[in-house]
Parts: sequence; structure tokens; C-alpha cells
Amino acid sequence: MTGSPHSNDRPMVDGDGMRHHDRALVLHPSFKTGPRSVYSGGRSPESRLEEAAGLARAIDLNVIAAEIIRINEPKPATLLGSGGVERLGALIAEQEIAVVVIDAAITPIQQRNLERAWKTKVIDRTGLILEIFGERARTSEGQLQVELAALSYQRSRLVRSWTHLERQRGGFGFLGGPGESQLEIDRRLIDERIIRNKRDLEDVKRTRGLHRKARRRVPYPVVALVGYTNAGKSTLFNRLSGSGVLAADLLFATLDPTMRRITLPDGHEIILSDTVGFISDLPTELVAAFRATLEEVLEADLLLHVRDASHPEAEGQKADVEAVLASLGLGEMLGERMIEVLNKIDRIEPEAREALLEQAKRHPAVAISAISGEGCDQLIAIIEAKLRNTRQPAAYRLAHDQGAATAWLYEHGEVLERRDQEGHSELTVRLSPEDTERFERRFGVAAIHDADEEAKRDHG
Amino acid sequence: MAEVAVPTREEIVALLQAVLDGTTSRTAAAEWASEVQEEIEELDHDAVEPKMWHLLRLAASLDVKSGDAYLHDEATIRDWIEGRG
Ligand SMILES: Nc1nc2c(ncn2[C@@H]2O[C@H](COP(=O)(O)OP(=O)(O)OP(=O)(O)O)[C@@H](O)[C@H]2O)c(=O)[nH]1
Ligand SMILES: [Mg+2]
Repeated sequence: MTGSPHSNDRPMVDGDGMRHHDRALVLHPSFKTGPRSVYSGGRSPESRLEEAAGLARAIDLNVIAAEIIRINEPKPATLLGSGGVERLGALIAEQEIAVVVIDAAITPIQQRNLERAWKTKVIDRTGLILEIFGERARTSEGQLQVELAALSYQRSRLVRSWTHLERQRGGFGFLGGPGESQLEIDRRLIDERIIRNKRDLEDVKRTRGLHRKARRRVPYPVVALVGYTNAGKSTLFNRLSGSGVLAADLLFATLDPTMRRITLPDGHEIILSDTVGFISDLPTELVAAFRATLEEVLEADLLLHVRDASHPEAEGQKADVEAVLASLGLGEMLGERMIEVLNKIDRIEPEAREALLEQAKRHPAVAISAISGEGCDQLIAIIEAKLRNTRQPAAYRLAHDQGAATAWLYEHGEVLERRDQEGHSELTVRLSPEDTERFERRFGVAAIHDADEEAKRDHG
Repeated sequence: MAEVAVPTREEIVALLQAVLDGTTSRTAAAEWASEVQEEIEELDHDAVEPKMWHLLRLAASLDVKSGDAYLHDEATIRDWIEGRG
């Protein structure tokens, strides 16, 4: 069980005894009643189980068995009924299982009781995802974010335990329950680490220049790839940018955002940004922590929602991604500023493929294979068209005393040309539709004429 | 309008060269470019040519990271120096 090579083991997030290559049992509890996750998207338990096994493999666990356990009524102490605990206990002993993954949220009490009954490590879905993120994060900021998420997860799972009571027995009883004071010590220790961690994060951000008075954006439109984990974002990123970031048949292969500047065939330069994948039931701790690594997404001019069209749960995954985007405040991006990319069409049977292409036309979406390159030229053409639409050039005539309006244009737009005349200047500027509206309302000016021609002449 | 010391193209190129030579850090260069940008925004836009403005904005993003590396690699900075921003 623990006879696996330990030499290259990195410490896991909560550091309590799980090892790479450990023999693992993956359980997906299917509840007859009880709250349904908002993200579950009506998926089958089978596909949820398969995804959970994929998550376990993502931290190199050796998945020996995986099964769906039907639960009529979750037991507060052990989640499963005593019969289930026993039956699985026998399997665990026989198969020498060292880690049991439970694909649900379990309470600290349930976790502890099951660990005792089975003499294994038990980990729930959030714990597992935290482990993966902890291993994959590369930048110091990413690592600190994950640590912070892990700490708040741990803090929420502190339990009053008998060992604590024993340790404290004979203490200052009048200060409240002795177990409670141990709990409070644990809580304080974690809180101290959280404070330290937050301070370190601030430092990292400061050195990155994020806290400048007005943070400077790269002066190119940002196109961000988003989508469910394993949908093919990094593969597409590599194809479009000609680079070699890790793309692998592995859940959460990408954790740290990567950006590349690329020049589109029409001559425009953009920043393409590859991001961490989404997953159903993304732990809330991580949604918060990873907001920062999704910064490029938050500021993107255009989102490409990359979908694995060959996946049996493609629709559920789409719903999950859109729910996460909405929770990040990007609900409005779901319309005009998003392109839906149906990836992996090479894996779809010819007949189904025809139907998909038809559907894509109507939807509208673009069907591609990031592996073979099919459809990618069309995707690029759509990106170009969308960016032209989202940032139309317009010309404004501003008097020389309208310094504030001029300043605003330089700050928010891309000034393509400037013609100084007696008493006024004419500025040709590329602005997003929102900014165009804001600008015209705020300064009470209107564009003088369609500036497309000048823009083409100057920039094309 | 008040006077603002707008950097010349030569000055920005010198700054970029200093980053390439390692005599100035990317962060210091980006901070400087941002500050100049802010000053210009407050005082007098008319003093800056759009192309220069673009170069200044690029310089202000010198320390933007992509994963472990910098978004703008050294070859890109050399492109800017040679006027291919
Ligand atoms: N057949 C086929 N496989 C693809 C295609 N695009 C990606 N893949 C495969 O799908 C797997 C996942 O690809 P990635 O690009 O790593 O996916 P990702 O969306 O970046 O995943 P995360 O970083 O984990 O969120 C890899 O094994 C790819 O080779 C495609 O168009 N066709
Ligand atoms: Mg990836």
C-alpha cells in the first residue's frame, strides 16, 4: 500500500498521508433524495463516477475500483448505512485499498468515522480537487491561492475530537469545554496562517505591478479560452499560437494562465489566453481563490467557449461552464462577446457530424478539431469579425479645451489617428460598444462619420 | 495646459535596451512607463503621438506574466526597438 516509491512525492495539500500511486477506491454516492447540486446539469451517475475516477487519476492515484453507491438516506455519522460500510470494508481489505475517494461533500465527522472503520484515508471531492490544484499550480501566486483555499477548507472542517479532549483533560475547565479550547487553538493557528498567506499574496501581486494606481492593460484585445476541463483549450491554444503548452488527457492539466501575443491574418494583434478548466461542483473555496487567475478572463474582450462536442455529457458541461461564468459576473459575456467552439469533431461519427455541423450553423457556433486543424480557419475568421464588431473605430472632433474627453479616449480606447486642426483635433479611435456609449453620453459628443476606411488605411 | 515632460522615442528605446541588457528591471521600467502615462493623461494628451502612446503602453506592460515567463519575450522587445511594435 505504502510500498510505492516516495522519492518524488510532493507533499499534498493537507499533508496527511496520501501518496502517489496509492491504490484507490472511487465512490460516487447517488442520492435518492436531498439537495441536487446547481451544477449537476442532470448528469448520469455513471458519467459522474467516470469523472471522479479521472480526478483521482489526475493526482496519480491507482484507481483499483470505482462504483456508484445508492443512498436512500444519508447517515449523519457515516453517510452510508452500516451494511454498506461493512461490504466496502471487506472490499477495501481484500484489495488493499489505501485511499477512498468519495465524490460528494462529506462532513468531517463522516470522514473521520469512515477512516476509522476502513483504516484508509478518505477524501471528498473538494479535498481531491484541492490536491490536484495544489500539485499543478506553478506560479507563486497560483500556489498561494491554492494554499489559501486549502486553509479555509481545513478551517471549515475542524472537529472536536476525543484525542483533543484527552489532551486537554484536567485543564482549565472553567474556560469552557476543554475540547473547545483545543478547537480554538487549531482555529487560531489556521487563522494565523491565512493572514500570513494573504500578506504574501499581496506582496506577490505588488511585485507584479498589479497594484499600480491604474493597472496597465496590455494594449491589445484579449481573447480568452474557457471551458470544461479536458475540452481541448490548451490544444487549441497551441494550434492558434504555435506554442507548446502542456495539453494532456488529464483533468486540470492547465492551472496557471498562459498568454501569447498572436497576429491574426488581418494584421490585428491579440493576446490569446489559456486558462484553468471548469468542472461541475467546483469547490466554492476555489471559485473565490481562482478569480485572480481568471483575471484575463474577467478582462477579456472575447471569450472562446471550447467544448468537447464528442463528450456524452457535453450539454451538462456547457451548463456548468455558463453557471461558473455567471457566478464570476460574466453573464453578459455569454451573448455577443462569446464564440462557442465545438471541438473534437474528428471523434464524431460521420452521420452525427453532419447534424452537428448543421446545428452549429444555426446556433451559431463553429465546429473544429484542434487536433487536425479542421475548422480552425473559420474560427479565426469569426474571431476577426467579432473583434471588428466589438471594437469599431469611430472619429470624434474635440475642441482643444475638451482635454478630459481626449484623455478619456486615450485611456479607454486605441487611438488610431489624430489630426490637429485650428481649434480642434479629430481623433480616430477604436472603442468597445460599451465604451462608445459611455463616452458619448458622458461627454455629449457624437461620432463625426464612419471611420472604418481610415482605420483600414492606417492599421490594416 | 501645463507642461509635461513627454519622453522621446529615443528615451523609451534606451529604457527597453536597458531592460534587455539587464541594467533595469522589467518592473522598474513598467512602473516608470505607467507613471509617465498617468502624468500625460492628467496633463496634456496633445503632446503625444499615437504611435508613441502605443509604445508607452507596451512598456507599461513589460512585467505582465504568462505562467512562469513574461508575456513579452526579449525578441518582442527587440521588435519594439526596431519599430515593429
Ligand atoms: N480527438 C481529439 N482530441 C482532442 C482534440 N482537442 C484536444 N484533444 C485531446 O483532449 C485532451 C485534453 O486536451 P487539452 O488541450 O489538454 O484540454 P484542456 O481543455 O486544456 O484541459 P485542462 O487544461 O485540463 O482544463 C488531450 O488528450 C488532447 O489531445 C480534438 O480536436 N480531437
Ligand atoms: Mg489546458
